[in-house]
Amino acid sequence: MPRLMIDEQVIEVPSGTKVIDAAEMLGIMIPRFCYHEALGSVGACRMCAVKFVDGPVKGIQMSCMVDAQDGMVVSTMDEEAVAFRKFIIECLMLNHPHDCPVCDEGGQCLLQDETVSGGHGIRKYLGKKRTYRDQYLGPFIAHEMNRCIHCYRCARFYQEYTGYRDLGVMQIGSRVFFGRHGDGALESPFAGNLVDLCPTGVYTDKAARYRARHWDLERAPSLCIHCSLGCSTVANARYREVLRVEARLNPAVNGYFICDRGRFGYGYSSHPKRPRQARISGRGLPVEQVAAWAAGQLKGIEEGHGPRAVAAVGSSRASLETLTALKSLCEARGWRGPHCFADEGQAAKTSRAVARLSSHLAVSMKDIESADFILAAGLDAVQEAPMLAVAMRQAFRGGAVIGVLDPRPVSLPFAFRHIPVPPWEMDEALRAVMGEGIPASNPDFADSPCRESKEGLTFLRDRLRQSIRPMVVCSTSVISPTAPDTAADIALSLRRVGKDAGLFYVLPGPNSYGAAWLSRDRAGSFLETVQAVEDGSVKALVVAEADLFRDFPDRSRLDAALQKLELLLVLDCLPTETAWRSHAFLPTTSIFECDASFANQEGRIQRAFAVHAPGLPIWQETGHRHPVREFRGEIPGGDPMPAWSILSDLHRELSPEKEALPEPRRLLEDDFPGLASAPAEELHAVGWRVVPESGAFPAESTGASPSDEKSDAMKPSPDQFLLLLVEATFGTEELSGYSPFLRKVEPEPRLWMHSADAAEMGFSEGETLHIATDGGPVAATLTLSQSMARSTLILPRHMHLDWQKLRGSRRLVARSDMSRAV
Amino acid sequence: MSDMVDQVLFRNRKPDRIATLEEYRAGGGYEAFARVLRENAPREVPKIIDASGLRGRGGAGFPCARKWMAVPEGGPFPRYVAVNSDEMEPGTFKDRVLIHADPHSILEGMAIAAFAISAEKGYIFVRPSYENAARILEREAERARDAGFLGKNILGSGFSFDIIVHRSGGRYICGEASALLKALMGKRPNPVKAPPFPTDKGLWERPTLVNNVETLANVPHIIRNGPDWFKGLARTPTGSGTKLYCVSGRVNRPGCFELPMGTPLSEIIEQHAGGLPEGRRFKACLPGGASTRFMTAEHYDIEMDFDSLASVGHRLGTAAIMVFDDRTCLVGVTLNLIEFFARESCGWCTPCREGIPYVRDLLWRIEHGEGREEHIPQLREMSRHLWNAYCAFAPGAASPVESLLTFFEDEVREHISQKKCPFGGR
Amino acid sequence: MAESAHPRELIVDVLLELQEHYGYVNDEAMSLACDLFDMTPLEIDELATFYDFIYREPVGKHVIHVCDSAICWMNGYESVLNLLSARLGIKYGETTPDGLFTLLPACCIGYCDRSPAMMVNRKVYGSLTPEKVDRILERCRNGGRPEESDETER
Ligand SMILES: Cc1cc2nc3c(=O)[nH]c(=O)nc-3n(C[C@H](O)[C@H](O)[C@H](O)COP(=O)(O)O)c2cc1C
Ligand code: SF4
Ligand code: FES
Repeated sequence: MPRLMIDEQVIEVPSGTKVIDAAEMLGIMIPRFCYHEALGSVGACRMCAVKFVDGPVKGIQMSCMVDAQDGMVVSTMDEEAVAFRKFIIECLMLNHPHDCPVCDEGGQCLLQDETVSGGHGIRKYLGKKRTYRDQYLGPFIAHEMNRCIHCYRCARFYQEYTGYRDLGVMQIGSRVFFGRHGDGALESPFAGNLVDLCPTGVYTDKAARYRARHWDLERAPSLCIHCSLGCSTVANARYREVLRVEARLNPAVNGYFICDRGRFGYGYSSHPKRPRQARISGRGLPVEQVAAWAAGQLKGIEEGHGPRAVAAVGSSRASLETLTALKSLCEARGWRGPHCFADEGQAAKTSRAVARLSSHLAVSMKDIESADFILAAGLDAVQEAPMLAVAMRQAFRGGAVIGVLDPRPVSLPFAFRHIPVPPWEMDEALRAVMGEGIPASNPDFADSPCRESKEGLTFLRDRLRQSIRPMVVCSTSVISPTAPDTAADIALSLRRVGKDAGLFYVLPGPNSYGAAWLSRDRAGSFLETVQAVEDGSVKALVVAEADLFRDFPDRSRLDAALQKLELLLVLDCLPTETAWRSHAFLPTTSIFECDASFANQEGRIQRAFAVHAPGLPIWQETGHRHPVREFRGEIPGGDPMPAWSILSDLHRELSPEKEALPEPRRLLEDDFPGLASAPAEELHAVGWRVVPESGAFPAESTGASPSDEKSDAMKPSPDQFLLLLVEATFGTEELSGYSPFLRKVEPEPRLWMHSADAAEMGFSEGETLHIATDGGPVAATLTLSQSMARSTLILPRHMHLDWQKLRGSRRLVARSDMSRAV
Repeated sequence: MSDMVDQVLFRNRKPDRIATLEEYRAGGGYEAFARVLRENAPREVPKIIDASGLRGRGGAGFPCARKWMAVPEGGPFPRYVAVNSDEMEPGTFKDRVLIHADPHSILEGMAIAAFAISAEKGYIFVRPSYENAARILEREAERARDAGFLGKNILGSGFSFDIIVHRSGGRYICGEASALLKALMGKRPNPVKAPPFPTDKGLWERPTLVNNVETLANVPHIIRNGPDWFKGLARTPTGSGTKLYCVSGRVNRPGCFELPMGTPLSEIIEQHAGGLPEGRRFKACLPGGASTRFMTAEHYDIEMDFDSLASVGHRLGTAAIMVFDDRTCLVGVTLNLIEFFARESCGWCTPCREGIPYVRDLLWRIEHGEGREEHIPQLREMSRHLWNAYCAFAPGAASPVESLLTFFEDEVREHISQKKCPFGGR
Repeated sequence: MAESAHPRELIVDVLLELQEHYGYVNDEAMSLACDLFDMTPLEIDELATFYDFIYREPVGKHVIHVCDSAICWMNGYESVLNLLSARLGIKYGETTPDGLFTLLPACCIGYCDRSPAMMVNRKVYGSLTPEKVDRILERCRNGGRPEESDETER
């Protein structure tokens, strides 16, 4: 632990700490541009110069390049150092366009700050300014190269940190240019981070362009709820609308960065079709009136048919506050539910995962970065949980071997060993990597196009044996129902042989852990409830922030069932089909309008804070971007309320004591006992993991029994395919599906098939294929791949596809049901 | 007139052609290599070189053997030798002349260096304008290979080594050792700061030696004739060996001369380069290429070696002596040099990328009659700041500017007061 | 390339080779290089645009680089440049309409002992006089390539 003195203050820091960071620990913020904790030191900008007065290093040096050492005496305000830094700022401003008045970075611009703090005010340089031609970089990011100060952060992030290869550095000397080879959309789904990283306004958020000055924005710490990782964000709003989302540093989860789905997916909250008014049978009414009517209806049904005639449904996108309230309401009233997974397979796998995650096995994304071996089962990280791919890349950069067992043609921004294991082989393959015998005679491996499957498994097995910090990553999307258990078994046995092993699940939604946890001792599945609706024993459904039509695999069946209901009460903030079909509808707030908690896939509870009050965005109200200049008591379109408070009111209406539910915080602490002891500061900064010490709950009580999801039931016969509905980075996730910006980058939905299968069937790349279903064909363009599992079909659960017609996220399709569109 | 002194590197130099392998061998060529293969353990070789006092000829003057010995004995394999023949320092052309005189001395030097650090592959990094040199080296390496001096199991010793000629795309910064290695690996040649040193982690993270052409060409001669002989070649007590001095600019016979290390400047200019043209007076020179300081007539008789120059605040650099006479505008010269540096800056760090063009702007104004009094302190301050750049490029650029202001401030002032170049722009 | 443990070390050679063939590194050359090295166009361009002697814009059959560094400056490179400009009717950075010549500057090409000097297609000509420049241009026009450069290769 070196001890050094910086500006007369002594500090002891861990060895390997750079002087710039040691100073920061003392609260001394040495100016910097190129240095970034995540990207490391490169010494390019020379802004962080300080004087080493005494000790092992002497003279002016870059504090980002020098490790703190014993006996160093550092002065940050030494005259020579100050003069040099001033020179650097002057240099950086020589060619800068000084267009701060029209630059969206203005107000949060590091260059502005350092120019002011460096005391550079008067321009001496008389020469001409250099100018560049900007590039079109796609719908998300605007490019203004004239503002560039050449810190190389963008290229380092893009290529080194995230492993994408279409943005970098060209030219030399004062002509150095950062950009693409030519105009075109950036290929990286992490490119949005350039906006945060660029210390000036070269890369700015196109979606938010010219919408607000930084100081006009209301800002609040928020969370990304577009996948189960739960990255930390900052939401920025103005005029009752979120305009920008930035990454927020969370050292345990996402570090400094987020993906573009998380950054540009906020548009659902200000969707023009967002239902903002309470309704009965489609007619807009005051909230209280609708709530009272619904309560009356529910009371009548309870009285007429007993409390079991009411069932409640939540979802994994609803907050913990909402889910705990829903659960308490069900318990208090004796209703069925809540069910949070309309898809039984998902329910089962998520339950298994949550059941098996224990506090000594659970690891965070940060931990993934330091793995030396990663075994990913059924995971296509960039598509399902994008930032996980970035974390895995950091492990790769540190030398980790990464094996991916997945039927999809997985592509990741680093080198890895892909074995296209079909779901029905997953458990066997996983066990093979564990050393329980390589499936030698397995026909699917033998004639797999990846003939090296066997060799690959052997390779992974050997590297796993050598590893010290192996991580098992398992997504619940396309794997077999038993794979989450197999993954946990593997992690456990690695622990037993003394490895520092970890287990990391990827779950279907942002609050899947919470949802599964809260329904852990609840019997019955949503399917059973649907049956109960069909047979008339359930008369009312209370749906909190769930779209049954999106999630339930059998659309026509659901359709028929809902028609039998006496009451469909829906609470939501999205313009879902379920909402339009409701008898009574109550509008709820989005994550940006009410404080909310979510438990991410590792059981970490995190908090998001409201950034603006609910209400119609001003441009939607007025048609232009200025507020109306009149005084009003209430906010137009301001009816939405937190779902939990609506549920609490409902409880009050229904309960004989006329009592509301306890405070959300109480409810949360009751359900997650660990939470009460969480220090508020830590809870807000990195969240609090509530995973119990040994597995969450017993295996039996996991709700659904996935009869049709048994491993062998999924194995296609020679005249069948196994169809897998999968996630895509853009275009399949529910919330971001309502974001106009993201629609611009959604790829056209494609059906993937193995080249050899296609050859057998006489199909070729680019053809439109039909998959016949009862409800008519589902059409998609065919893409061929050599690196996917044979006898499988991969189809993204894309918004533009009627994939619900396919009934089930995994199903067998007869080859004869596949045909070329005419 | 060069034949007046002992010629070592140029002993086989011909006016119209290069020395053949046979000619090289006839003078004892490849004997040194054969001898170390036969008689020495690899680790003994640097000791001999160390005793000779050989210092790097690429500009920095780093003791050659110290670098060789820095390669860790237990370090990983394969290891590499990279020969720096980028030679883009303005005024410098000695490596070119040497390659055109006696290429095998370089190849043999490389082979011995490779043996010393147990390297198996050597790269010669050649700039585009030396395409001839690249072809010569390729051809002669082939001949050495045919003669059994390169390739597998050389002379039955079990030691294998081969040489590849690498053509550069052309940039001055590629001569900087760490940038050169990146260029060789097909990466953008921005310099990288040590540590790690190339001797620990060079090409593809393996120990790599980077030496100048001339440095290595001395090695066979040292082995053959002994370190004491080499030391004795110099004219000064702390110098050793001979030096290839390039003389250019205002002299009657510009050229590259091999002379004892420490030969006085006046002697080099007058006896070897034919002196200045009739009626011209020596005003100053850059003693070691564009990135050294202007040296005035005060040091006209200085012994041109590392230590003598250092003792008066100058650098031997590449020993490329650029001579300027009393009718040459040194502001103009400096402006031209700064143009060069501005054009060639790799663009990695701020002081160099932005600061040098800034300096150029001010010098341009002064040279073209738009200079102002305050530009002088401004230039002084800016060139001082250039020393805190990322690599040695920018300090190199600062050197002529600083020395211009130190020794020729009056000349600069005259530009400002007369609002034009008193030399008519030349 | 197959022999190389690190194919990327050959990238500049390949670019120079492609340039030899296409005249400059055009889009086709670029995509060939991308395929050969499994690199993206951006990655190739990161290197190609770094170097002085890799052309990413069309150039003439004969690319003339006039050395304009210190010694050639002292020895009147400007008159060489002016002469070339007058003879060819082009300025720095331009190509003659017949596509024969492109005129570019060069940093010190290491022929200060034979200054002023210039390069034509990577061959160097020193101690330039107006007559010599004319001769070189003439030879380029007639024979396609100037025969001998100043320095021996033998
Ligand atoms: C900007 C810059 C350019 C350089 N160019 C060359 C060069 O062209 N040739 C050379 O041998 N050394 C050059 N050097 C010096 C090298 O970095 C390195 O010190 C040298 O090649 C080591 O060889 P030596 O020890 O044999 O001298 C240059 C250094 C800098 C900073
Ligand atoms: S001083 Fe900086 S910009 Fe200049 S060459 Fe060195 S690293 Fe590149
Ligand atoms: S922050 Fe240290 S050099 Fe840029």
